Amino acid sequence: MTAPNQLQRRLQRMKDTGMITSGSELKKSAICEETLGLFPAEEKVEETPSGNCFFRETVVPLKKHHGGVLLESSLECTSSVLQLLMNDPPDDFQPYRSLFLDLETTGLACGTGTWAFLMGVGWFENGLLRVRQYFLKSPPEERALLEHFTATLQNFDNLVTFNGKSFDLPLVHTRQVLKGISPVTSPDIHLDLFHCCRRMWKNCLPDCSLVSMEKNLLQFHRSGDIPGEEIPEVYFRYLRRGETQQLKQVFEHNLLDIVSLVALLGLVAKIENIDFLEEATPRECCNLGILHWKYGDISRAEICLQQAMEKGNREEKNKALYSLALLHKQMRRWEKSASCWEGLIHQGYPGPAPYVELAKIYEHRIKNLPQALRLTREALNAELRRYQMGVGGKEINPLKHRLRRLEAKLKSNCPG
Amino acid sequence: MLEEIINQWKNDPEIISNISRWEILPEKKAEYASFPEWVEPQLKKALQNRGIDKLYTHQAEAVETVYRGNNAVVVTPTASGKTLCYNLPVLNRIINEPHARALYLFPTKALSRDQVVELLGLVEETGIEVNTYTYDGDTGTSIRNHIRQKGHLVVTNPDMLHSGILPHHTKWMRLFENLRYIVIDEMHHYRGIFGSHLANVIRRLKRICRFYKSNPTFILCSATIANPRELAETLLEEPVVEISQNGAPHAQKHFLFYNPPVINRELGIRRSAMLESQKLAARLIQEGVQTIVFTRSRLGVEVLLSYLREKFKSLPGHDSGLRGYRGGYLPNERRAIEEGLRRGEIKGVISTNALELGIDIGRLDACVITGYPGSIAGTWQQSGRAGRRTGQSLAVLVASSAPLDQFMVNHPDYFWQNPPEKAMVNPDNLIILTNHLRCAAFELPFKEGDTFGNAPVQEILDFLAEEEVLYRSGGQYHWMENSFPAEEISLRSATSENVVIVDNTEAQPRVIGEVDRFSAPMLVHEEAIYMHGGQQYQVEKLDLEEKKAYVRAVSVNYFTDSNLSVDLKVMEVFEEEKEKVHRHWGEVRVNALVSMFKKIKFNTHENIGSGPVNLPETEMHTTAFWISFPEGTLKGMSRSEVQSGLIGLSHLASHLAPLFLLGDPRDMRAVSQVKSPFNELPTLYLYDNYPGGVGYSQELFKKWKEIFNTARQRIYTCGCLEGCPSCVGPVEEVGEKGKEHTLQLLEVLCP
Repeated sequence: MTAPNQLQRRLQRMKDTGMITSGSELKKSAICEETLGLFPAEEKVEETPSGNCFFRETVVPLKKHHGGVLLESSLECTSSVLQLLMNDPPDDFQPYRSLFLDLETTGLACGTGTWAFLMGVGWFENGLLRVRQYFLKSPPEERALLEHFTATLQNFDNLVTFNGKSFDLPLVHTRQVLKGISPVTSPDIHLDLFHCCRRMWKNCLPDCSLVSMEKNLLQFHRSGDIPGEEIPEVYFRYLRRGETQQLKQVFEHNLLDIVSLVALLGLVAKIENIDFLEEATPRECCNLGILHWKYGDISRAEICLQQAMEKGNREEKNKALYSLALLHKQMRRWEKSASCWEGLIHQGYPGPAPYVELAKIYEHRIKNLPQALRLTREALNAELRRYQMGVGGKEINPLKHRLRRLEAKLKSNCPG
Repeated sequence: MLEEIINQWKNDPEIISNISRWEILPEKKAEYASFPEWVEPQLKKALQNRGIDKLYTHQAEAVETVYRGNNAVVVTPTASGKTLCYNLPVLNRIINEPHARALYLFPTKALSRDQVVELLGLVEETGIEVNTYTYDGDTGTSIRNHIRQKGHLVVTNPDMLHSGILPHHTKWMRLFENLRYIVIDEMHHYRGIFGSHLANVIRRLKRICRFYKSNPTFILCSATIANPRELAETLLEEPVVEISQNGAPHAQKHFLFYNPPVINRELGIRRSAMLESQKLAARLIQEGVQTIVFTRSRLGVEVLLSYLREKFKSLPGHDSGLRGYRGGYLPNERRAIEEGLRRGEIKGVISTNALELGIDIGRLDACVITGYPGSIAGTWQQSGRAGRRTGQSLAVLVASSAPLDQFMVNHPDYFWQNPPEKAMVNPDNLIILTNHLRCAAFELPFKEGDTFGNAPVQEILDFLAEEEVLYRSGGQYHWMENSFPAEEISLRSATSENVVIVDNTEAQPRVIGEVDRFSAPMLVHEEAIYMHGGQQYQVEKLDLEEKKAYVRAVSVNYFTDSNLSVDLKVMEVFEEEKEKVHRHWGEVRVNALVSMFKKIKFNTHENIGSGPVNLPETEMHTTAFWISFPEGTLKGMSRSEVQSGLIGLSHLASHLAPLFLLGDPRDMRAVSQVKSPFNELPTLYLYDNYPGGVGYSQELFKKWKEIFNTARQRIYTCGCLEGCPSCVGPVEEVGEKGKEHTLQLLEVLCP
């Protein structure tokens, strides 16, 4: 048991006499490596009034596939697609006027003590994707870096990020305030792909992280990638000890993030195409149908929902049919709506909703009260069955109330 | 009804014989001043509409001071219109300068709520647009951004400022750029650990204001303490003007000092204070006199509540009018009780000092204080709960057998003639300071030569850089860690960990309260009886790693009390004086171990059993004052006689120290060593019961003579023969002749 303590004491003595080197000495020895440069062929240092600004530039051809998506297809994205996916869609969207942005930071906590040490931006240029990675080689260079970055940001109409509304942009804003740079308004149009893609694929993915979307939507698998949670530590080791080995991996990680943003935009661009629908999963068809419906394109919505019904398993069929029934109801197409509800009953849909909806149609449209009454009884039975199985039950009392109301109405309509 | 009871008590020999002082505080007329010239007409009109057509003299003095740009601390009793002292200048400024902002700080969420209601009423009356918002843990995320941009008056608490606002100051740019006033209400709360933290939060706040080029004026309000200006100036590290001439009126009040009768003269045993106040309170409540009963501990609340409920069980309708109130109750439970008191539906409330001040429960008829609250300041605050605008009110202080209580009840002049105690803070407590420097560096990088109040920052910044928390580059210290430091630091304790209490009685476990990490081994060890809402719970398991105590409802006829054994080692001497006796002040390491607990029967308070406690010892570094008797000073005393004297002395000194320092008796503890490892001499230690220390022991180092003189007085006036809990401690602990041996030591200390 005494061995480790003894070892520790010996180590301490050896350190004191300079026989082994401590962290600060390692740092000294690492300086020569740094003078060679991190990326000799790609790095640039620009002088600004506030000092030097370091960045690395690389290009990626747009004819390249990222997983299953051709990068070039992102140029096809139109404002009409975005109308389906955004709360505040732009009237006009020019993909080639976009700046793709992704930050690597010293932590996930928001707040003033978190730094953006690597600010990756990408844009289209002569058939290429040009990626520029602003890198904070030491804290005093932050101002120059931010000024250069801010100027770049102003050259574009659109900003494309992944969760940039909650994370990247507020962080940039904080850094600007701290450095006394008047926070320049970023491009008017901010396309946050996290929110867009969640609308379309929420129930198709195990989670809504970028990595999950790469894997499941782009069919792109990262290999040898550095895990995000290790990134801050890598930067600290670079600052404190001059270690650059893993830092280069962080640059690659960030580059991949940017390329994935472009590819995701390419995927989003295609969702309106008819061949997308043909290859889409039943859930995708159903989600797309609902999005079209919400946007007001009823005929497209019907096509998508039909597709979902044709391709899906029982559960997926029911979900699509249910949406279709509601759609017809909203359009006041009572017969079509009724046949959908009947279809659901026929499929053994659990729960009272189809009976209730059908009863409403019989009561108010077809004016067949006995049939409405019969269906309401069925609805109550369905809800009671569910309750016995330990689910539902909330509708029991409202249904009983509805039943009594119908019985009274029936009595007053045919006295005696 | 109250008048009748007062008259009956005057003539009841069984009561009057226990009363050592019957003081009648006469009615006091109001002193007024007119509105200053500069008050804007619409504000003046709004105040007049609310029935305020002139100011009390202290209000006028306060608003004038603040208007001239000076920091002010206003010291006045409950219900003397102190909120106007800050609302008036703040609103006046916003009328003149629509962008101006103000920050209001209250020690707790509960305290801020009532003030906001009053403020909103006044704002509405003026008809001007003043956006007033509470920003705390309960504020919805959707409205937060609106508050940051548009809030003129942001009401919050130190904890939220510390972890929710300062670390995100860039989002609060509008507030900080235009911050004109900072209001700190209930300043007397900021003493000890909490105050030491707040002083550092203010250092951070001022640093951020400088960054945004604003220089706000501070307005502080405090209950009566001995050193309001000193405390304010320690918290702010700026000059502050004190305003303490109260111009508000009050009605006649009877103030009684009540000493429970002696039932065993030899052993110095008196009837329990708890039973006596139960008797007095029952009488008052039964007659419909709305009464608040204060007790010293959470346990006291629960014990008294169950006694009184038992007593009223046969009287239908009375039970619902009786409530307990203390820390550890959940917020909505508390809100309901406050509301019930205001409406008069609750006739009696048993409380700890959680209901001391600030929380609006209206004004009650009578107040029974069970056991001296530990300070003159606290006694005034608690008694201030009783007192309507007209008629009479009553406050009774029922002394316990503790030395401090007995001193007070036997020397009532001391209470009536002395100013209240000093509130102590230690902003440079090394643990607290270092933690806040981390937060400050997270907020803004430190430049070389930067200051942080009056704290010695350079060494600590270098240390943090060496520890790789900060990164030094370009003459600045930058935060370089993947963490959020404010989240790890609680302002309520030196360390941040609390143990939650989980009730396992029902299938669905529920959290019923919490205790701090250091108290957990004493209060919620396995088999301990924990009381909540008059219900007893037995602790089944204490999981210190998970910070959870699992309890189950039980019904037994006892409560539990644990024994603490303490070992102390001197780490460093800060100051020393070697005269006849040797006195020191320095840093010590305290190891505390709860080794066993006792079961104590209700009502008789006899010991009916005990059990072991198997918990790891806790270690704490803190500051201490110690005094040693050099060779030759204790000639003729045997080792065991010296030991007996030291035990008596430590009992007295730790109990009497609160006479001089505003704090809880728990804040200071005493340990004695017959042969101290430090200097081989008989030594008495008094240490701050908080990691890092909060300044008590340093003050004792200065005031030691007063304490030991008071101790000697206490022994002379105590009627017992050989020692009792009211002086040197019970004979079983101090030994026969304990009183004599203690006096021998005191002869050496103060000849």
